[in-house]
Amino acid sequence: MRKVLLFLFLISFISSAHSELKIKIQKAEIGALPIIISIKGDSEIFSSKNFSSIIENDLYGSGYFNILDSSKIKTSIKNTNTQYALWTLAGANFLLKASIFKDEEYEFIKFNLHDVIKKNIMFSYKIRLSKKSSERKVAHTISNLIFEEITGIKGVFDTKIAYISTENKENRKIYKLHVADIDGFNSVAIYKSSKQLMSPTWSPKNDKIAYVSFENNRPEIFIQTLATGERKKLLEGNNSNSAPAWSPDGKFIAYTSSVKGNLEIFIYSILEQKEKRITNSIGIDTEAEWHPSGKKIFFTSDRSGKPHIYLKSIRSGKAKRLTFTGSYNADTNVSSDGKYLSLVHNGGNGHKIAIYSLEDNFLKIISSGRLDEAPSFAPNNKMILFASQKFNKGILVATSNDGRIRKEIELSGEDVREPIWSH
Amino acid sequence: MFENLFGLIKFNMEIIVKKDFLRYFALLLITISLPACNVLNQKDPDVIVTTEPMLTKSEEGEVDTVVSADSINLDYNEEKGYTLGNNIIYFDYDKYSVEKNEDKDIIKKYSIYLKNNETASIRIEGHADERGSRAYNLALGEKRAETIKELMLINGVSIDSVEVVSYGEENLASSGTTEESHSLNRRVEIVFSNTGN
Repeated sequence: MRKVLLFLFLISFISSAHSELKIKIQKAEIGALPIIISIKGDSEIFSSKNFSSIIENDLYGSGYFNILDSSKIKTSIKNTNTQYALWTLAGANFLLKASIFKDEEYEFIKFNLHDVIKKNIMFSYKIRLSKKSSERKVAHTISNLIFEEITGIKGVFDTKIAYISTENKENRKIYKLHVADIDGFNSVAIYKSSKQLMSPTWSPKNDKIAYVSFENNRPEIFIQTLATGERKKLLEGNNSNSAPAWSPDGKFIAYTSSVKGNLEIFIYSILEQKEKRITNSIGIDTEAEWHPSGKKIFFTSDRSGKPHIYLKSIRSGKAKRLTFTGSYNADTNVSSDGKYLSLVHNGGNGHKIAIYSLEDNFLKIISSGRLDEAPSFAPNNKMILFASQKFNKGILVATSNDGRIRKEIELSGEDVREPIWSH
Repeated sequence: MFENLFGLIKFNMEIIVKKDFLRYFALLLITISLPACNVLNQKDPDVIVTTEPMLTKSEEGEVDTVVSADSINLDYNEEKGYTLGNNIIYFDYDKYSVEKNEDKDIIKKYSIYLKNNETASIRIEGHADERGSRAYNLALGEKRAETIKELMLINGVSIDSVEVVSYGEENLASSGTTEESHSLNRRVEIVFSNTGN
């Protein structure tokens, strides 16, 4: 028994070691803001070092910040003028001063954000610490507060990504559906299969994931609840269906299925368990993406001869063609404000990620690979996550929507693909 | 009132005539392409039953190709399983139309076999090359396989003996990144689920 336990322990250790995502920052914002993160005090459970490294990693990884060494900085000088003068000398524009402490009952982290140039405190907070497991979440919350206060942009350090990985084991491919924190930690394979898995997509509340599985030797949509692991096939019967997309209210799933040899888009009402056909054209209509209003659907269609992005009301009416440049525009993802599309574009130089402005119909290429695909916006619309290839290995890339910040995310020993950012 | 009614009847007639016209036009095309096909099922003009050689439509300056029932033999090899000789049809980039006579012959061979062996059934597996989006490539593979299925149905194959599935860009025949590799991956493979023997 003990041997079995040890064996199990080894397996779980190995598999968790395997699924560590490595993030490499390639380009950072020019003029990144210098900040010092100074956290003092340790308790039995919590370490200031852990908090520092998580927050520093978040802020540096955003591309907006340059992290200065906090070890030689004095933060306990009583005279505020002297204190700010010293920090200015160290080259900091901002400084987070925090401490972990315990009162009679609970442990806390208390923190002030200083504007070193203006010589004032931008905010102060105190957060009660409970379990060790909440350490990363609390640190990400602090990163969000700092980021939002300084840049005015909503922080996304506590968000998640889902993605598919493949691993070759004894000449067999193993497909895994993963969920991970955006900083690469807590990566968990929530479903494994010897048959193809594809097209993961988050429910609006981030509590479920819909995806395509070939476990019955054809593409079918499944919904998996993250908290319980419960899985359910979306549609009865033996038909192929694919490319699921959740409506913004979570009540419908748009998907693709064939009718008399043509691929059409349907929407399925989860409450009524009924489907309704949305498109009707010869050829391919697929990759539905809901407009944030929930009333229209973006999709890819080759009705003009080549794949392009169209927009259509789910009630009635004609589809409107949106993209006209290049020979290939597909797999669109819309920003949460409904102003931009990210998509896969080929203008004759390989498949790249582009951003299309719905307001001025302008398309801009933001990636440089030849096989880039599966773009999705960060919840704050400032970054785009997509799949790329590096030395024939599938990797993930996160880039700012102007292309100036670029991060590569790799999974050791496995190919990664089809990433999607949570809401 | 009557005028309206007549108008309605006339309108409906037009639709019927139009539908029938399309149907007979399709039949005409098939008949033209099958000059030696002498046994036609008159009851259902969509279904053409023949045991005679089937001819493919001849292009100008081209010699008609002949697919005779005698030439249809079940082959077996370890890699492919049972086939009727060539079982792979290749496609152009982002395309799903069947243009080449040799590909039409493959479809005809399988059509004749399936009609002569009622218990036989096939799986038409669609594939795409790795370029572009995975979900679109899944749809493209399905459209390619559906195109072959539709052509077989026109040839009189029963819908129950044909199953379609797409693997998208997942099961590549060639893993290279050259145009040659890509062209080998843009394909439909016809696989017997049951040879009927």
